[in-house]
Amino acid sequence: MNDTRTEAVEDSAPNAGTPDLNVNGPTVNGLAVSIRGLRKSFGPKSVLAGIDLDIERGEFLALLGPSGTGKTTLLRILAGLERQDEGTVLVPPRRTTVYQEPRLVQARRVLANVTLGLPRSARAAALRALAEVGLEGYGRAWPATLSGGEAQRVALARALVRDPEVLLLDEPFAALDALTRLQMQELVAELCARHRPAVVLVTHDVEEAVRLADRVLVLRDGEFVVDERIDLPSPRDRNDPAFVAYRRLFLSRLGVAAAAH
Amino acid sequence: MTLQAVRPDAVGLEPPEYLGSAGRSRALSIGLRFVVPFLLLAVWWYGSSSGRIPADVLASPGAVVGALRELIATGQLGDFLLASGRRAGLGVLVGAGAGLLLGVASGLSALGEELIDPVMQMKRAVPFLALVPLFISWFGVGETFKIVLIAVAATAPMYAYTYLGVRGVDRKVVEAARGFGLTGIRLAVAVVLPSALPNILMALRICLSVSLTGLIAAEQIGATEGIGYLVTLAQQYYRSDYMVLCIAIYALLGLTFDLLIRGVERLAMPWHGHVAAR
Amino acid sequence: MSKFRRRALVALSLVALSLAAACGSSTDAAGGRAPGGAVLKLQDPGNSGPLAYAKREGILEKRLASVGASVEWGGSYASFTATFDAVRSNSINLLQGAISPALGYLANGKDIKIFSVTDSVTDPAAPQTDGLVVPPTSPIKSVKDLVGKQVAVNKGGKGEYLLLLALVQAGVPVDQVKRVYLNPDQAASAFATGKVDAWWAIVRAYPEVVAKGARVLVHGRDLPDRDLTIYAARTDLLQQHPDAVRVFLQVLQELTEQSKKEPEKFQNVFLSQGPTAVSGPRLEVEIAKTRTAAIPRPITQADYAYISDVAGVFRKYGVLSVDVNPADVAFDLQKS
Repeated sequence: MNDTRTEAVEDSAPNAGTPDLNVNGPTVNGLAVSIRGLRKSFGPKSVLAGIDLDIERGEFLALLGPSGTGKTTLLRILAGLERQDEGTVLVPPRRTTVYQEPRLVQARRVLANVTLGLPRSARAAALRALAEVGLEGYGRAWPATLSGGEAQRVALARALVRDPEVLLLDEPFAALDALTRLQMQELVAELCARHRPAVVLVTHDVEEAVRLADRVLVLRDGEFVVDERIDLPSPRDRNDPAFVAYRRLFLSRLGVAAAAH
Repeated sequence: MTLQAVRPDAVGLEPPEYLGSAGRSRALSIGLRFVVPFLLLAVWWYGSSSGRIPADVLASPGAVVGALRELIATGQLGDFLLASGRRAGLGVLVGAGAGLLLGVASGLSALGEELIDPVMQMKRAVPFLALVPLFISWFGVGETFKIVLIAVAATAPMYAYTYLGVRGVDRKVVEAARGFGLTGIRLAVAVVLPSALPNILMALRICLSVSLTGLIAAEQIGATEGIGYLVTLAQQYYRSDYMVLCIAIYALLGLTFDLLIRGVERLAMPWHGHVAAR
Repeated sequence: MSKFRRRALVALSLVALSLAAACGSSTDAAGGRAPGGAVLKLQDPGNSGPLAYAKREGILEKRLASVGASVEWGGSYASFTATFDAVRSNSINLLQGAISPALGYLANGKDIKIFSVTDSVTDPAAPQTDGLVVPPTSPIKSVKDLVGKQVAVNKGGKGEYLLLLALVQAGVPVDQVKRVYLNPDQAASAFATGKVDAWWAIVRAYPEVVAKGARVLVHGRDLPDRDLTIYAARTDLLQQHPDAVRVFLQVLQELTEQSKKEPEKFQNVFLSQGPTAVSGPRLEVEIAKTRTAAIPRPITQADYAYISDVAGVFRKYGVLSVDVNPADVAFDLQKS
């Protein structure tokens, strides 16, 4: 398993003949994230009360929960931006995060933002990644000249070019307008299907979770109250009764009873 | 709750490397601040007492403490600090006040920038020490001269930082405030100055240290008290113990100014901790 | 809106007030001035000597009152240049100095004139007050060895004058010795760290550097030194109030007489500790100097030769770019 991953990295090097990053990569199995007994509190408030979680390689996991329940904290612990109080957290070495805001360096061009921290040899891969997110020819643009959706695509390209084993998405579509959000969701679904990283998507949007994820977790009071596999074919139809049933289930477990009916 | 074992196929996984900044205890942080100054003191003390640093190169800590005792005994230390403090205070008040007004005017309005900025850039290029003879003939050698000299020295950094700060205020917020009918002084007071406060306080730090340079220059001329005058005396009478004492006094003043501004920052910018990178 | 206007006004008037207070305090310093009478504006007299004693005892104030004049004690100055700037702006109108450093200013303006000179001390018991010094380990044994070396002197001052005299006397071409212009305090550190090969140390710097072991090649007293200590005043003061200046000189003469008899009373006048206080061997040297001090006297035509001689040396070696006519820079108090 390890060997195949190493091969994939080498394949993604620009001088290798393959045109793209790990396209239709090997069927991945094994664990991408393993969490045991994770605790984290801020002052008296316990946001993660000893959770266990395993995420398979290639699995797309959506994390739902009301505001302030520790979804983002869990994500930040996985990213290494926050430290847990207790518990074991194991992640693969290559992880990247896309945040709610694009977080681009305004003083550097788009291509430099995508290759941030990578060697010069990553340029070709970065250009491919830009093309993949639909921003071919934007390499020399300045971040300030991009629209919100374009900037977020650059952030996505910046994550992809690192060929992550785990992709952490912290409400990446929340700041976008409804139309752009739909396009971006489609793009993310497509990219993830192609590159097969394990994904942790933190979101408020139940429909988004049901639309994209293989598995949905609901976090309340520091614990997972729902861990549900979504067995629907792609592309998913939001009017499919099964889709509606999932949505209702999650909404009710989130405490939004009225909306669930 | 019993802890489940990690699944055996968790191969090649590792705990995430922590990327955040380490939260340190306040006591440790304060302690660390003193490490380098105390180390320097220790080297100085050891060097002097072991004879590795000859007294005519650097007076020993003992001699400097002796000089300090003399100054306190004659009551000069208090008088000198008071006299210099008054000059520096008034000078910075006037100079930084002018710099602030000009900086805001220049930062907010295009006309202001066109009128003020070129003049301030020219003024900035003129070392204020070059103005000393001119100022003596205009203002004599009394207090006015000294305060004007410090004020002129303090104007430039305050202007530059305020201008930068005002230009750095989020245009969108200013736009919104204009939409609510705020203009001119009210816009400056309600929106622009609070937002530019980090820059303005940084400028104040620089103004205060510039005022020390100004004091040395001003109190070389026609003074009978002040810490700049003490520097002159130490040089004229070849008292290396007093020269080192002056340096120590300046260093302590620098520290005091820093603490002062930090206090002001805490009071005036309670919001700043939430947005600063560190 | 009016609330903000008012605040701005308050802030502005505060600034204006503080400025006014600052200006006010500088005129306060001139307190006690007799209306219409002469005001002698003097530098800070320091911590020793007849003038410091006079300041402490209020002697000048009392004596000048008899001619309707008053005295205003000012601050001290880090350099001779700054002192002359202060004289130009009429912050000082009477000062002590020497012919050599004053020449540059006397040559370029008619607003200052010399009214008194003090003869050089010839008493062999008097301590030396200056000397051409070299580090104790220096290979330089005499003035002749200075060829190709760097010597620190104060520009256009006594040090430069005496160095020129010494070089002429030793037969060394003046342009073969590099004169490095440094103020005494800068020269002290340049000398201590070996950045210059020699230094003509004067006044307070001389005993200081000798105490640190420097070797003296030649003293000013060994040379045909024509430079004198002088008192000079602004021309307007001399012309309008010669009586006040005469009283000043008289008091100075009397106090110098007294200080020769009781030199101890004229040391550490204000403070017995601090940077300006002297003690130990330094105090003894100062007492000896005071005991052997010469008494200032009004300048007369006979003294013009001193001015011409010093000016002649400076003119010859390019320190001065114009000639100085002694009659233009001297003021005869007896005649007026």
